[in-house]
Amino acid sequence: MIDELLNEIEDIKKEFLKEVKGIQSHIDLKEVRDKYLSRKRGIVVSLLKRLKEISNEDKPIAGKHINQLKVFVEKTFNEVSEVFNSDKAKSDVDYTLPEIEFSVGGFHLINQIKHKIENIFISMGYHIAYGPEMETEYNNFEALNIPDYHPARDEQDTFFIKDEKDLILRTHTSPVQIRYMKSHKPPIKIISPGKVFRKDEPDATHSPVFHQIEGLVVDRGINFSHLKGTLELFIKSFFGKDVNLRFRPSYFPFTEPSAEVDMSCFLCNGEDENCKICKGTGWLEILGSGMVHPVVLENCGIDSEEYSGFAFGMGIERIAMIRYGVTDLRLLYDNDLRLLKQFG
Amino acid sequence: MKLNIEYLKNFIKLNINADELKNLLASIGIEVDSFEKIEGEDVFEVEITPNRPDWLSHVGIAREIKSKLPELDYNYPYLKDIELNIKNKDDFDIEIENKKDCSRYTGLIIRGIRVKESKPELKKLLYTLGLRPINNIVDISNIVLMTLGHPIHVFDLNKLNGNKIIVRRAKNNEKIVLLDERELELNNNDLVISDEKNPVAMAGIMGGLDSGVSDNTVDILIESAYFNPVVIRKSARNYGIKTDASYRFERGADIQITIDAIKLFVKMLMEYEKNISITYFYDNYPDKFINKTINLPKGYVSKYSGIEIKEDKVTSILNNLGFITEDKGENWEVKVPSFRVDIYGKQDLVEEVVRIYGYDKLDSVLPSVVNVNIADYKEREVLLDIENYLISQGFNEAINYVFNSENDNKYFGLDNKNFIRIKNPLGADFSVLRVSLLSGLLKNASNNFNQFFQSIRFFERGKIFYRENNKKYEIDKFAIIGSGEFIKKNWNLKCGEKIDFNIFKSIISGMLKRMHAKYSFKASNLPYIKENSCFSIFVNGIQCGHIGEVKKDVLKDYDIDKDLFYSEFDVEKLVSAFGDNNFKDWSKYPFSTRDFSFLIDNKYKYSELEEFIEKNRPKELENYELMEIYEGKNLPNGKKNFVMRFTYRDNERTLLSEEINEIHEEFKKILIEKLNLIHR
Repeated sequence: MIDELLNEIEDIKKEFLKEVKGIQSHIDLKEVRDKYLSRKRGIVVSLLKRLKEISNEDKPIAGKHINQLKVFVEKTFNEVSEVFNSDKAKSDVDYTLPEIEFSVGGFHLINQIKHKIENIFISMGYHIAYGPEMETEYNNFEALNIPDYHPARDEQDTFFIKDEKDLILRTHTSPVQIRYMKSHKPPIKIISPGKVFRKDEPDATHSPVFHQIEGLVVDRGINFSHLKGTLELFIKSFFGKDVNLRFRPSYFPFTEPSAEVDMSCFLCNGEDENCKICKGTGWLEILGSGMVHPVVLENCGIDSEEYSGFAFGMGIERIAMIRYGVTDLRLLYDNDLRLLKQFG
Repeated sequence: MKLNIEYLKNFIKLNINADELKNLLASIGIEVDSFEKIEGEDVFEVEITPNRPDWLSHVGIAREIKSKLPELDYNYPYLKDIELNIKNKDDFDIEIENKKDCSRYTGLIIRGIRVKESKPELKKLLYTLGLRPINNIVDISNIVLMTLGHPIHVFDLNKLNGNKIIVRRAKNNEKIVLLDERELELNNNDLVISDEKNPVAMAGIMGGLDSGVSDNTVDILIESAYFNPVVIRKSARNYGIKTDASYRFERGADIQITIDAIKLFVKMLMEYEKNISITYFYDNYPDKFINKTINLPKGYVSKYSGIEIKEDKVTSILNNLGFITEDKGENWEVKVPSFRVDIYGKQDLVEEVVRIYGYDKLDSVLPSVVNVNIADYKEREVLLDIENYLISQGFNEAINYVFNSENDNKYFGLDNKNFIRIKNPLGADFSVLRVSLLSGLLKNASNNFNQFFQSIRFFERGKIFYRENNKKYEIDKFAIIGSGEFIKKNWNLKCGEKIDFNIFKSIISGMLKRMHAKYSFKASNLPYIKENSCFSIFVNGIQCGHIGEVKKDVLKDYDIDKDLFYSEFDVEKLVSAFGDNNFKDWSKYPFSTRDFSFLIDNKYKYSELEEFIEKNRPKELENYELMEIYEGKNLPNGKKNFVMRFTYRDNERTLLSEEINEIHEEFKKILIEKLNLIHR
């Protein structure tokens, strides 16, 4: 009986020391005081009440230990309380009051992603090229080896400009590559970011306006493995070094060979069957790419026997969706401060 | 396209499960969109890229799998025992008007058939491929299509007028009723199959209703042809018709397969008819097909792919894909099979080899391309600087659609005819291109005020579009709006100031100061800006923007009841206005200030006083600032009271107090005299 009580006293002492160390505020201080030293319900008082259960023989020992505990608790508590009070008393400024809310803005999420991608490619020695949003059908299609009545035109539903024979809203930023190749000699090493337009009703995954970044490298001796090396460096720089790349054969009229590029899911790495990003496949479609089609080079006055090149393109909104979890594309064009402030 | 795995196994002896097959197909470029069980059989929905019409069939996909896994048994449908022997030859003819439109037309007449329901196995197969059974004749032609990828069409011979069919262009205004009961008025761009009177089918797209097979049909003409892809596509697109046949013809059919398609039809029909009575067979094929040949230098595949692929590997892959390679020493002469309409040059062959060899075997190598073109990042740097400044001032970046309604464009002083319109818009709200960034930003302001945001601060960079004197303009603009709370009220900050003209102008000035530019404002006029509140902004002497308070009736249109301020810059002009900044040394001697309180006529604007000071400043005057303005009672009529502080300092020595007094008094005298000031 006595042993049990003495053990209990030891435990109470340890617990008390722990709680005393955790005191952060006056409210904590009062709570600890009440718990141990309250005259009615305090732990020390309740121990004294239990003396009657102890045999007469052991009572003096028990009483002595309880008293020692009482003295220890009071002393420690007073010390802490004093330090705490004097510390607080020194500062008459309540530095925890709410701050002034200065308004701070931010870049739109789309352009944050764009800047990040641009910076990676600038660090790799790329230049940035721009072009008009109203484009000729020739630059947007024919020059890119998509003749009229080519089935590939179905896949890019186009907005046409009224009362104009040859003007459309560009369906991709590839015409910027055409303009650049016509006005610059190789070596060429550019990215072309910008708005593009496709006739899609706005819904969760479609928007009549969206943003692309494309890249183009043309020089002597450029090969397919250079494309893979470049994209691997880019993807790892953007998403993290543990991400892997997968090339799949695909078709674009302006590249040959062509490849669809998937990256391993940065969230689950294929280990979560219910992953909300990759849907359990472990892979995310991220880029279209390929070796520039010789017809495209020739259309721009570049000798395709002497030079070769690669090109790639990606949608910024898609990256916003997979990387930042934006669930509805329309949100990106509402300019609702509830969204912008989350990323600003 | 639906791909029935069980049916596929007739043509390739697969030894892998559905998941493995899916990955295998993806690795060679055939994407499996979905996988389902139909009638208990595994069916893939595969997505075929438009360059590979040869994959639009079970045999085509089997052939492709064989090239990746050469050890598997590949069985082309066995057709060698099908003989198209003619008994009692009919008097019939097939005429092709222009061999460019139709370079092959194979026709076969069978008499005395009975149209009936298809057998259950055939019906089940059709269901799994997403097709509806109709009768054995139609069903067989559909299965031929899904098996070999070649569309064939069957006419009821007795419904044709005369003993001849002609492949020809339609006459203008000629009419046809199609199988789906749609009546079309044709024109000379359309290719038709015609009997001696009327068109009986739109070539390669859909047959005519009147000449189709019915339950009473006994004699049939089977068509297996090759039509010009562009002609088919133009017509199909023009009338908005997309059929399994047009889908294949417009991508490019296999000209060499027409007879096989007919033979497969006959073979399948033999399950229903013991004796098949062929009375006519004619293969109208004016110019026999010649295989394309490509010279492939032997090291080219390795060079272009960047990975070493051995010569025998290159040839074996190409051969497995149906190409014939002939060794010519330095290079191979590669014959392209008739079904590969997508292959033009050696780069195409590189893709073929690497695709089968495995894209996963590509190396990752960084190219050592050095950019020798001159980089010009001025615009990017200027914009990023300005944008970062505005962000620190609480502005958020907006991105709006370039599409507007007519109404959104109406406030900007442009006539309707100046707008650039979309020919095929998504709707009236998206029908014209914006002529100002303000319209989008007003919508953003309105929506956010409705969400109880108290402070609206946005900037947007984007293009505006208009037409003037038959020229089209696409101009890069940078716009800023501000409205509502400036700093939120707080327990120790009682001001809770609203953004007014001066605050907004200060923000814009701060932006220009941030760029170390000299700037000025000049009164101006814009149709959507309040009078007397509209100013042009000059930066280093170049007019590059405007600032002002937006008119109340414009705001009302967007349900905004607060004051709203707008500034807009022409990006190109703004960027060109900024120059380099050069180091200026500063005086090491002490400064001294003198205050000057005076009355000035109300008619003077501060900028005029400033201009005068600039013109007449003594060289020791380093700086001056307006400390106080007092207007109101106790002042003579038409006057206001300014207090200004002047700072004096010399570059070469310490000025004595008396010297400064003398300079200051002299300067005051000039100001008082010339500007009619009253010392106070």
